[in-house]
Amino acid sequence: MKQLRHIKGLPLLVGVISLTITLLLWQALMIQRETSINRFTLLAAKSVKSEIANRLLFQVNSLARMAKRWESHKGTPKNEWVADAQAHVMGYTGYKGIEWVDPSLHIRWIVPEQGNHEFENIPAGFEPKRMQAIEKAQQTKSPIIGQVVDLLEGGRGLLTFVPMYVNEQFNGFILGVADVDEFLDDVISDHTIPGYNIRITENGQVIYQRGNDEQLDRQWGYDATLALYGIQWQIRVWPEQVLVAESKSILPNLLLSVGLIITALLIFTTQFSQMTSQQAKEIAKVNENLQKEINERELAEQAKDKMKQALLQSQKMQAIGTLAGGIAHDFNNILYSMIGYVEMARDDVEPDTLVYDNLSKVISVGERGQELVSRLLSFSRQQQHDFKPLSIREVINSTLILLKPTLPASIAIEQRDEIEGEDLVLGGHTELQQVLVNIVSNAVDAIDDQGKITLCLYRIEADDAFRERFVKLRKPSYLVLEITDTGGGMPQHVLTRIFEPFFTTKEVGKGTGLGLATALGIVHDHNGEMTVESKEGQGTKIFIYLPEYKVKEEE
Amino acid sequence: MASILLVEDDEFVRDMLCQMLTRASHEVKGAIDGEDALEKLRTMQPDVMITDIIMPRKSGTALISEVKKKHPDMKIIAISGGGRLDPEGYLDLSESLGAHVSFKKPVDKEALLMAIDLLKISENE
Repeated sequence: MKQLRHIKGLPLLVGVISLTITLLLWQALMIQRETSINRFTLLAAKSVKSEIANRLLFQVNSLARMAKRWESHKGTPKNEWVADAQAHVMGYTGYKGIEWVDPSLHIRWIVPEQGNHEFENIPAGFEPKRMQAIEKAQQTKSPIIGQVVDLLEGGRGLLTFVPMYVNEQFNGFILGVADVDEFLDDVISDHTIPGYNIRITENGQVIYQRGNDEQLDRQWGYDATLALYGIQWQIRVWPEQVLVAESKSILPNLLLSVGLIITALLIFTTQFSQMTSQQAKEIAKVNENLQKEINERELAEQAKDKMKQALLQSQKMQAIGTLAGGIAHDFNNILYSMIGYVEMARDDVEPDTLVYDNLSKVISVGERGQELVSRLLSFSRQQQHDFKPLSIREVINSTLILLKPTLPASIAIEQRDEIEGEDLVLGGHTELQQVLVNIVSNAVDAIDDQGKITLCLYRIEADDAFRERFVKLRKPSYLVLEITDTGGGMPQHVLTRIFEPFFTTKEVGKGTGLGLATALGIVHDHNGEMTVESKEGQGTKIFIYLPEYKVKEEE
Repeated sequence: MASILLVEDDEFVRDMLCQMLTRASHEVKGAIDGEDALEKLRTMQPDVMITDIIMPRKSGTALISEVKKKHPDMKIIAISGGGRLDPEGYLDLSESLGAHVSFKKPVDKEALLMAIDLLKISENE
């Protein structure tokens, strides 16, 4: 299902499928309706045909009965025949009259008599269609209904010729005349199928029509053929508008509308679902990226922490080293002077005296002390680390990053890099960082409120003046880091003692006095030099000189 | 018997050495640091200058170079207190700068006195 979701164009596909189903169902319902209308129309046609056939049959039979009577009696006396015929005429709606046609094919008797006298003694087949029917009846020796003819008295008539045979000899016809319209009206209205219209044609000519609607006729009309007693009628039936309208249900259109709405909804929901899934994917991705970033930041933080730890550790070790070194130096002086004094005192006493012996012991003890100091010194000198080529810029930048959180916002840090090209020195990364940390911390402490610390980096070639000033610096070129602060500066008497171990102007507990001493020691370890310039009220400038490391040269 | 200028910032070491050298029949003048030493050198002409290396205001090495320029004939002995601030390399340096001999504290009394005598003799030659 998940895979399905991501198909492009799924909403469109869903929409098309839904629309297709809707249209198919709609079409099916329409067809169903059509089919039902058709079926009913067909039934109606058949029913009409059947009704007409029945009536025709009926009235032919009763004429045939009259004929039979004639045949069996070898002729019926006129008054009997007239009475029979009258009953007949009265009995059937639409009947205009009944005639007896004699074997010479002349009309002899007519019922009703009134108004029909002009027809007496005229030939029955005075008109081609009649003649046709007569001939056919004689031929088939059975009742024949002729084609619809125009009646002399008006209207159109349906003529039924029933031939009679006495002693197997043609004995004339019983001719029934019915008014087509009246006859058919009666038939169809008696057993009316409500809602349908009819058209009856004979040989392409319309003999009867009820209702007129070309379109409905064309769309829904159904044919039934009536072939009976020689007539060939095409009965066409079609539903009235009312009927069609009735069978029109709202269902198909309702279905169509509902289908369209559902289609639209499906498209929307699919689209929406895709969109939300897309959004969810995007959110997941953003989440993933965020997580990645968080992880990276964490890693960076960890790396920073590690560096801090290393620095802290190194600081401790350096401090210890400096401490040891500082103590050792002062202690050496103490022991030296002490031993010296005792030696001189011993010279003033007689040997082999207790005083002499005791003084000797003092000297021994003092020498032990010196040994101890010397061990302490070698420990302090073990702080030498593996030196590597380092980029001063990198050391400065990484240190500033470490220091950033501790720097007050009111103090600005400015960096100026005036070195072109490489900026390498041979040294220890953590140790050099320590130097910077110490100096920058001092600078920050020197600045009361607002101020600026500038770190300027440049190269200096060791010329004669340089060598004269810095006797110990023997390399050809040095990288100089100049750290300036806008702090309170130092008076001369403080300046001279600045590098002394344990010398501090801070309150007890606020500073060990080892910072600059340690820094100086490290710079010296790097075969460099550090100097200070300061003016009270104007700030302090510290210069760190480090020998430049040139790859080719060293190798 | 030599006239010695002793440059040492530690009070007790200076005093002790002064005494020790005086006992050895030398004439000793003390200076507390490089500046003080240069000041005193304006008015005296010692045979030997004994100087500590690490001192405030003017380090021993700087002093040595300056003295070498102004008083090229003066004999110089350098002593160093050791410790982290005073790597051994500095003694070699001081020698290359002009110190004739160098010692590490605690200086052997006999060795020091012998050095002074030798330097005094070479001066005379």
